[in-house]
Formats: sequence, C-alpha cells, structure tokens
Amino acid sequence: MDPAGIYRTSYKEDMSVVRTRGQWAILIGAIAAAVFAPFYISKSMINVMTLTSCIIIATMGLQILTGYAGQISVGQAAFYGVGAYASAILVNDYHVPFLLSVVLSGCIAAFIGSIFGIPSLRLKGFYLVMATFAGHAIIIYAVSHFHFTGGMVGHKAAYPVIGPVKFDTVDKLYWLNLVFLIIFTYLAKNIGRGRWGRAFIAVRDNDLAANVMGINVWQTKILAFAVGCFFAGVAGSLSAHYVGFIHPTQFHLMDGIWYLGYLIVGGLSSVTGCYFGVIFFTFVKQILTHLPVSMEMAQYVQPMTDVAFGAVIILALIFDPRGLYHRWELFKAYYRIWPLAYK
Amino acid sequence: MLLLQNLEVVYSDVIWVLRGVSMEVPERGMVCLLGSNGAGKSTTLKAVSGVLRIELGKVTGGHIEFEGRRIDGMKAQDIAEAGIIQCFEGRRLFEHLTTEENLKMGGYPLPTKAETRKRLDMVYTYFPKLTELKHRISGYLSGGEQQMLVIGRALMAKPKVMLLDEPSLGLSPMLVSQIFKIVKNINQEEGIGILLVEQNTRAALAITTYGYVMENGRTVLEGSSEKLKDNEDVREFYLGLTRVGERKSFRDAKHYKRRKRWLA
Amino acid sequence: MDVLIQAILDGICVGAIYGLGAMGLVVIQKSSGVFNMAQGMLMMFGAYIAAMGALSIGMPLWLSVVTAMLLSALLGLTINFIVMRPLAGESVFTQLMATIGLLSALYGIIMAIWGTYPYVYPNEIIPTGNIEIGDIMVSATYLNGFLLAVAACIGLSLFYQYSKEGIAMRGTSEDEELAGSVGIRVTKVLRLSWILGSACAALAGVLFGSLGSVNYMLGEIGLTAIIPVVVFGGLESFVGALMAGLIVGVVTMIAGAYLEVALPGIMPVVPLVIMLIVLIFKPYGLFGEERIERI
Repeated sequence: MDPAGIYRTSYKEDMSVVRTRGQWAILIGAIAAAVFAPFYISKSMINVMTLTSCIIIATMGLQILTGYAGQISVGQAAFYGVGAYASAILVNDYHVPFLLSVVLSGCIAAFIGSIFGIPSLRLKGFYLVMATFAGHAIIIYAVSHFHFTGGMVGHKAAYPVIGPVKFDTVDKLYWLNLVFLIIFTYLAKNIGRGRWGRAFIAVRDNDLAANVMGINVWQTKILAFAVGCFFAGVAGSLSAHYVGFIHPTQFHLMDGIWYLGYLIVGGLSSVTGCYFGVIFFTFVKQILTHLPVSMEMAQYVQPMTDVAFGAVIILALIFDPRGLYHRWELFKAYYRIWPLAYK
Repeated sequence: MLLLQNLEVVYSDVIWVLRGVSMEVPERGMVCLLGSNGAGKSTTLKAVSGVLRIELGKVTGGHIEFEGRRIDGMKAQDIAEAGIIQCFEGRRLFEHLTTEENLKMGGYPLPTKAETRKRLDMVYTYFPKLTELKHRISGYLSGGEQQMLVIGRALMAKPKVMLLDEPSLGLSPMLVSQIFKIVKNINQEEGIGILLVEQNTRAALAITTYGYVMENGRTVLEGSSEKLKDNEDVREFYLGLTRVGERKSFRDAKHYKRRKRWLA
Repeated sequence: MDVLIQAILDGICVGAIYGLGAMGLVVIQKSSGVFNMAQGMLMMFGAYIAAMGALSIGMPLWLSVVTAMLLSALLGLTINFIVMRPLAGESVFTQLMATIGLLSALYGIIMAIWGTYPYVYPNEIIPTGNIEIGDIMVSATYLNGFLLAVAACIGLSLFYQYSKEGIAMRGTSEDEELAGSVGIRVTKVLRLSWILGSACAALAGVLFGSLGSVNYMLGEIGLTAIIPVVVFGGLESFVGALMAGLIVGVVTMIAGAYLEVALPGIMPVVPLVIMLIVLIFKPYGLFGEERIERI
C-alpha cells in the first residue's frame, strides 16, 4: 500500500522499488550511514557487522530459493561452506585472483546446488527439507574427509587482494563486504521483480498450473537452487577471506536450520525480511554473549544461551508468525490509513 | 433464533470488512444472503460459526445471538455443539479421509455409536449417490459428489441451523437444482433453519422465504423473497433484467443507467 | 557369516528402537500436522528422568520408566500449551521453526540440569535374559527394544485407524479450522497427541540409553537418525515408521561392521543417505500418503 497521493501511471513506475522522494532519501541516508560507520562505531561492532553482511547475502539466496520459489532448503550452510572452501583453495593453492575466485566459488556452489536440487523435482514440502538436510550432511562429511580440503585440519584463506589494493584491515574488509552486500541486494530485488522471479513465484504457488501455462518447471526449480546457492557460495567465500581460516566445524548441521530461521522470523517473502531476520538474531546473540555473569554461573552460560535463543525464536513467532516484515507492513498500513481506518 | 445485530468484523487489525450487518434466521426459516463478490458474505458466516480467529479476524462490534445466548466470543467447537454447522465455501473436506469417515467426523458430537449409525442412514437416504462412494477417498470425488458429502456431513450433527456458503459453486445447472431441492427438503422435513449465501440469485430466491442483500460489508436491503424478486434494484443489479422483465441489451448501456442509491 | 547374522539381528532390534522413536514423531505429526524437530530432546528428557529414578532414588527400572513416561507426557502438555496453542492455524513452516526453537531451549535446559555426566542403567526393563544361538547373541536390552516397539506400533495403528478419536485426530491434522467447525474438540485432540507422542519419546529414549549410556549425545540421534527414519517411512504411517526403522537399523549395523575401516565415521550419515535414495524412488516415503492436489 502506498501513501496517499502516490499513484503509478506506467509499468516502469509500477515495478519500481523506491517509490517516493522520501524513500530515496532514506535509502541514501542508510547507505551513507553504513559507509561512514567505521568512523563512529567500535571495531568489534564493525567486525560483527562484516560477518553479518555475509550471512545476509547467504540468507538472500535462501530467500530466492525458499521465499520466491518455494523450495524449502536447510542446506544453505553447506553451500556457504562449499563457497568458502572453493575460494580458499583457489586463492591459496592455485593463486587465482580474488574477484575471479569469488565469482568462481559462487559458480561451483551453484553447480553443486543444482545437483542437490534435483530431488526437488519429485519431492515437496517436508520431504524436500529432509533431502536438503541429507545433502548438507553429505557435503560436510565429504569436506571433512577429503585430503585436498585439508580434512579435519582445515584450510587457510588469504586476505583479499584486488589489483594493487590489499584488504587487510578491519575497515577495508568492512567496505569490501558492504559493496558486495549492496550489489547482491540489488541483484536479489531484481531477480524478484523480473521474468524469473515471476516464474519462481508461479512454481511456488502451484507448480502443476505453472507447468500447464508453459513454464518449464524443471528448469525453474534447478535455476532457483543454482541462484540461491550462488549467493551462498559468494557469501561463504567472502567470509572465508575475512576470517582467514576455515574448518568443517564452522558449518554445523544446525546452521542450515538457523538460516531458515532467520528467513522465517524476518519474513519469508521479501528481501527486506532477510535483513530484519538476520539483524534481529545478531542483536539477540550479541546481547546474550555479553551479559555479565559471575564465576559460579559460568558453567550455565552455554546452556542458558541455548535456552534463551530458543525462547526468543518462539516468542518472535508468537508475536508475528508471518515474520517481523509482516508486522512492519501492518504498521505502515495502519499509519498510512490513519485516521481513516475503522474507528 | 439466530440473530445478528450491527456486526463489525476486522481482519489483521487493519482491514474493516463488516460494517454493521444485521439479520435474523427464524426457527425453521429459510433465509438467503445475496451480494456480489467481496461484499462480506463469507465473513458473516465465519463470524457466526466462530472460525475467524484462524484467519486473523475479530468481531469488534455488535453481537450474535443464538437462541437467546450470545455466541460471538465462543470457540468454534462449542458453537458447533450448540447446533450451528457451516458448510464452507469451495467444498472443504477432510480430503484424505474416506467418504464414510468424513460423515462420521460430522457426527463427532453424537454420544453413541447407535446414534451415529441412525444419522448415517438418514444422510444416505437424502443422498443415495454417497452410498456407492462410501470407501472412496473424498479428495478424489467429483465436485457435485463433494458438495453432497459436505451437506451430508453437516446433517450428521443434528444441527438447528445450517450455514451454506455458495453450494452451487462450480456445479452443473442440473446438479444445482437437484441439490437445492434436497436442501429445501431438509428444511421442511427436518425443521433445520438454513442461511444460504449464494451468487446464483435466481435459484436462491426461488427456494427461500426471506432474503438480505449485502454490499461493501453492510446489509442494504431485506425483504421476503417474493418482494425481492420484484424489487427493481435487485432486478437490475443481480438478475440482469430491465424494468419490463426483458434481458438487458448492451445497446442500452449508454442510456440512462440506474444507480445504486444505497451506497453510503 | 556369523558377523553378518549378528549385524542383522542387532540391526533389527536397534532398528525397532529407531522405529519407536519415529512413531512418537508420527503421533504428533498425524494429529497436529506439526513435525516436531525437538523429538530427540524429549527422548533425552525421558532417558535422564528414568536414570535419575533408577540410580539416584533407587526405584525398580520399570517404575522409573513409567514415571519418565508420565513426566514426559506432562512436559509435552506444557509444550503444547505454551508453544503450539498460540501458533494454532499458522503455516507449517512457522510451527516447524517453533519446534526448532524448542529444540534449542530444551537442549539448554537438559544440559543445565544434568550436565555431561553419563548415566548407565542398572538392568533391563523386562527381564527376558539373553538369547544365544551358537556364536550369535541377542542381548536382553535389544530384545526389550524390539518387543516394546512392535507392541507400540500395533497399538497405535489400531487406535488411529479405527477409533473415533483416531479419525478425529487425522482430520484435525489435515484441516484444523474445519475440524473445529464440525465439533471436534481440537484442544483435546492436540493435548492427547502431545501426551502420546512424548510418552513414546520417553520410552524410546530409555531404550536408546540402555544401549550404551545416557549422555548428551542422545539428542543428536533425534536429528540424524529418527527424523530420516520418519521421513522415508512416510510421515503418516506407524507401520512405515517401524519398517523404516528396521531397514535403517540393519543397514547401519552392516555398514558399521564392514565399512567402518574404509570410511570412518560413516555410521551417522547412513540413515540420511538411505533416506535420500528411498525418496528418489518413492517421493512420499515408503508408506506415506500421497498429497492430493487439484488445480
């Protein structure tokens, strides 16, 4: 719903993401605030924000796969891992330039993702979830036991180098990740608005009807997996070069489920929902890890964090089962119709 | 018996759907609720049977009374036990259960197996087609058979009032008249009050005794079916007839057009 | 040859226990449509309570197990009240995510109470004694598991297929709104399903615990073994859960006996791989109901 007085007169206007001058102002302001962040936010927060931006990119990939195309996947963490490993190996062992390596690892993750997406042609709903879960377990098992990935020892990843610039400080890495985040948000929004986005949504809503209408369902589903895993692979490679070291235990079985959680709590059907979900959870995690506790209580910290985390998810879902984005949309609608809404 | 007064319903806290609906279904009465799409007819029925909560809806004003008691806050299963059964729009069934299991589900509130057996036999006499389909999975039945099953299931629970939401949806004209005949029989022989929501205005006015017309969440017209059939507004907007009783011709569209004067 | 037969027999018994754990999940799924990811945690809870009863308080094991089942049922009821009821009628993913949140919360609570110390049960529930045929032995614990699992399967299947309550539960899982409007006491149905499902979980947890020790790893079995078993057995079938459990048990044991050297650590992955293979051929699991779709 748009504010009063805003109406669209052409298809281009109808499809545009940023509608009013006010929205442009907010968007530019937000980007500016993000760019100048290192000058007024502490280093540890910048660290958190950089990692969060990688997670957001991966979540946006999941949003395209699950939110738009309806193929629920809990394997996103595994493809994140595939991207991380691929990039680390390409850059460290084969000396591939950084930008090329990022794109290549995205493609490798996309390729492997399409293979694991083949079950989606036959499976639906919860059965598909478990198939992706199995896929995740298999990938992680493979990665922990192959020799060239370093097995259980892990693998190093060098700092990113683009041309003459070496990104080795926290600030520079933050800006690099920010650029990628903006590019990929734009990509995600555009995929949603375009021809493929519509195909995804058609397949999600009723794939039999989509098939009858002429959409190649097979192609669409595999493409959804490929795109979603491309995002995950890129995010993984970015985080690998940020952290500097990767190890199979970083890609736990539950992480894939958490990605789905970010999406559901944030709002399944929109890119903005990804932002809401990931930021909300990062916020909660930060609060929980920085609570001051006494020595006797220290042994209870980990279990209590788990309890609190679980409780927060449940409460967020009870508060608005359609995700925080839905609550935000309701708020906007209420505000825009006021005082003309009922009563 | 069933009384709605100035009912107001809101969805998701922001969408105001019903803005003052008042109607009455007397005992053994046969009442129809007419209106075009989006008028709020299904919402009215859902408010009566108490399933609004699942669709994020709330009754925010007015009240619903059944046999003197207020039922607008009650849970759906209590309202069903009190004797109000709704047949939802679009032939909603337990698709993975068989026909007979669906009917048995309808008879859930009945106390003994013998009762259930008796009611089952009664339903089979009204809908003989269902006897052949006893053990077929109900999701695979044709539209007409499903509609019969839905009405049969509603009958099982010894209702005092049945709320029928667009029973003629997607059915052939012959089946529609068949089903409507059966509904009329049920009303007369079993003494069950019927509130019929229909788009098929002609058929609805033919079998009912009283009618209400809804537009944009309000009841705008009411009267006995005889009077409604002759009412000029109804004829123009719902029956497609001109003042003389002939079908409207498109040629007249540009000439004097009757306007809906009841819109606020 | 003996190794193979031993592996198969062990597999059948362990598999039956997998099946029992899976059946608890199926109970909850069949009645409320919710796939309870936290089932493993419920199992762990039951196992620990029984261990406390038998070891700390000194009750006979069978009494501890019954107590554990009752307390688990209570926990299930509480979960239903606090978590599931507010989310009634919401989409399946939402309820699924809620159970995942539950997974995390329960794990934390269990860890906080009992820590990482392993408990070992003193004896078996039903004193059947071991069965020995030549070099092959079926231990009493394994035998227990098998008998109890089969009994539960028969009981639950009959209940759901033929009793009025059972049909009501199946209807509720399909369409809660419709069930309510027909007069089915939806709250009662959901409470009953959580009670039954948790009690099943507790029993399965005790049996798993009796295989080795009751420790913090028990919950993982819920994710890596029970859930694949349920999925490829078909989400709505008890017989399917048992069959699937048996298959998984046998294959895992055989894989463990022969493949452990070549592919170390393969055993946890086996159920998932089996599941994937089965799903390719039978998309709704071995005994699952096909979802009816009409355009």
